Amino acid sequence: MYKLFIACFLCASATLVPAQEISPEQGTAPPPEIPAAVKTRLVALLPDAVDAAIKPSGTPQFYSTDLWQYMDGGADVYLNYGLTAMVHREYKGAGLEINADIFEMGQPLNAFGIYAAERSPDYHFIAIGAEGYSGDFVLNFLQDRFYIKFSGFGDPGKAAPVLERMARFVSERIGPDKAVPAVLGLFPQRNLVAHSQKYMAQAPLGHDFLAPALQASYSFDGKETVVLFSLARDAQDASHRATLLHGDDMIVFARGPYLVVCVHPPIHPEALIKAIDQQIGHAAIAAPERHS
Amino acid sequence: MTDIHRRTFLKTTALAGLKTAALASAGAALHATPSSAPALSIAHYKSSPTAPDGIAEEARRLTRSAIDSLGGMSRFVSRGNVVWVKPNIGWDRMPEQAATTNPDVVSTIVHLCYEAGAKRVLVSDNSCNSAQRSFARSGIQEAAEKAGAQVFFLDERKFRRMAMNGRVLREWELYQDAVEADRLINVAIVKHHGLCKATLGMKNLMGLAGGARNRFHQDLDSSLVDIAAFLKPRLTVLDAVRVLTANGPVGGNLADVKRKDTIVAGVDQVAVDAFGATLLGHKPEDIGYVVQGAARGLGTMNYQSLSPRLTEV
Repeated sequence: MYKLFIACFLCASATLVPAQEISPEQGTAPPPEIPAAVKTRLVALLPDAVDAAIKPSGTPQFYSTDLWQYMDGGADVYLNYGLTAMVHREYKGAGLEINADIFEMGQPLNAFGIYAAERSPDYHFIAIGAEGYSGDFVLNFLQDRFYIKFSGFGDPGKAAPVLERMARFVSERIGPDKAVPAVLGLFPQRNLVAHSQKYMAQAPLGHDFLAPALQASYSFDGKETVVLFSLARDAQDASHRATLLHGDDMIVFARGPYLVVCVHPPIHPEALIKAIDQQIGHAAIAAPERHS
Repeated sequence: MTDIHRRTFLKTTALAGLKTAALASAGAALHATPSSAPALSIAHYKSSPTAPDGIAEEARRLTRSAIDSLGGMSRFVSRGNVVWVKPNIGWDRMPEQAATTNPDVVSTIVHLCYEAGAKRVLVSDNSCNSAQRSFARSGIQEAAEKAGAQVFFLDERKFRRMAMNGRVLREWELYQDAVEADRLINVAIVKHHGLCKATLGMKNLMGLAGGARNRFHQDLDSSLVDIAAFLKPRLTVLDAVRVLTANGPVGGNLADVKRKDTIVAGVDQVAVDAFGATLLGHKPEDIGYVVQGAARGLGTMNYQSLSPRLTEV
């Protein structure tokens, strides 16, 4: 009966909510022209040729807010994380076809956000850039304000080393800074599920008022606890956000400009909370780079 | 004729005698449908082969089984029909990456259409990545052509604005030849989608729309249901041999691909999608366009009420 009620409610709300017409003529601002200097900079990050056999095929393509033309359906997430420009280039040779995509995200934390949104803790991570992983046909990594994605087609045994070589070239070109955003240091390391940290620009835990936020998973006796830092404007804003959040099985507390939420906390949460307090206490983490 | 409503169009052309034969044969097919034929069938492979030939064989056998369980392709396709088969060829991805429909599922549907008497089978999609690369890389072009289908890239000039009278899409550009085909068979892959949680049958029909499709994202669920309500595919097939469970719709990392070894087929596109949602770990009511499709009378979310025919192959 209860399920039937929920289904009826969903159906009714789906039809009763007024809909706004989407028109083919609807004005859509043309994408901002990507400055020539940005295009030059992005292309310069890519190799002119991988080796004597594998060379660029066609001309580089650039996108910004028109990213949907390249990846309709997948573009919105990149735009939500603040994509400023993107270059796509193809390479061919030696029985391989390689696609190289470099996304410039404006700020390192935005780049981390989109990178982390697409990675899973169980991937095969490799030492490249700030963090990266590879598979038979892909190699994706994060460095500075860039999210770099390579995909290769052909013999995976041949493709993997080529992708890695290209990725290392790009990493060198980006520069020596290979650190993840320092604000990720808010997460205590003990019991942290490796590579589970995320940065959410929209609706963390389903709530817009918690955005932006950092989130990570912890494992206590095989059970998952989610720790979230809502990055508030100041201490007052953090306290206000606390009043808006209601839910079972969670611990919520404000610490300076952070609202901390532990979902499904461990039976004895004291050690975790103490560790969080210690990390927040590291002023070097908290202050200047918090939103960058 | 710049603005066409699908029903008006079909009525007009039928009156003009252009579709008389097709409509008559459609009627015959409907009358010939056994009353016991189910509206939904689910075929599952007992094993999960890993060799490419084994997976291809699995896809072919599951597809045949799922259609047979519905009463066979002759329930949907009649002699002389022009059939538009709409797979997902949206991405420059290999079949292993599960971002596009399994090519052996598509080729089997093409074979079945011809066996049922189809005059021509057309296979195409409005790819998101380069069509040339997507058609080739997905393996669909080669497989469908071998099966006798006409596989071609969409011609921008053939998108025509049509009066859809939808909830949010009053009119939009759709591919004229697909709308005019005697039969539309939707052959989607089950995969994760970053915006609407799941790409299923109704989502796949977006590939017959032209124009600035990113505008659909203002109200994606309503847009998808508008398109599905307008196009009304005769048959919807879901390929869940391999399923992309994360980072859709593009994917790429094999670590995100899981085997489900399942093909779903049905005449109720909402019910098909409702079951498809469960293959990704969702409840039907988690998927907005499934909920809205049911609310707007396209079908039922309660797929179990259709007593789906389950087959182990």
